[in-house]
Amino acid sequence: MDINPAYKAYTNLGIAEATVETTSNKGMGLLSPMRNNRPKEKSDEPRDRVRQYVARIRKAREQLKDG
Amino acid sequence: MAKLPSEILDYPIPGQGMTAEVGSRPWQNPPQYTTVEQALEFYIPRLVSDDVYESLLDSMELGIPLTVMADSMQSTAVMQGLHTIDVGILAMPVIIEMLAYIGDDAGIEYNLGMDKPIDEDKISDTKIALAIKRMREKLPEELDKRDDVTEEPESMEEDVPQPSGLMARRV
Repeated sequence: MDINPAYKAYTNLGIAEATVETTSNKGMGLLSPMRNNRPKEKSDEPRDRVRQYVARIRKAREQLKDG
Repeated sequence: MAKLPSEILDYPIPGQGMTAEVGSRPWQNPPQYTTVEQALEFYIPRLVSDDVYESLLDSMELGIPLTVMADSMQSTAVMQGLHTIDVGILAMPVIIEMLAYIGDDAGIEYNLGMDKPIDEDKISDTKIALAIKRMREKLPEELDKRDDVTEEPESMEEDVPQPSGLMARRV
């Protein structure tokens, strides 16, 4: 099982970790820095793109299962 | 274990894989698809095409893990010079997910290939059958003799209910 590269490639994508939303304690004051306005740095690495594709198909698959 | 001469002659000659001229093999030439997206544009329409779709469903019903199927697909494409191994490795998770989607869509129970490793202490039926076959090849006479000997079943005493009265006869 461990020698199958497909198994390793699939399990090492880390989709579960990527989908977990991180909640940060942001200051609600008027003078607090607005972090939301900053453009998010998006990685364009092939691995990240593959992760996006897999997540998209998985979502469609889950919707298919749910009906 | 001594092997048959014909079996030995079937082996490749050491270094045979390097005898072809460089560039004569498909995988020694520049690949056709250089990015993951290009490779997926090749794979995904093929997965849902009529000729491949049915055989995919058959393989899933047979219990072939999706990881194995995806791996063999990309290995074949690498051998054909369609893409590099790197692109194949990157494309594999998407192929697996797409296969799972096809299986779900068709309502087939498939094996994703993510199960826990098989318990090594348990010997598989295939290994046992192979060992018996080898034994049969090695010692055909002894095994045939054993097969001829039919064990007589032990005579089982039937449980007849014994009369329990004071005046009952004892057998």
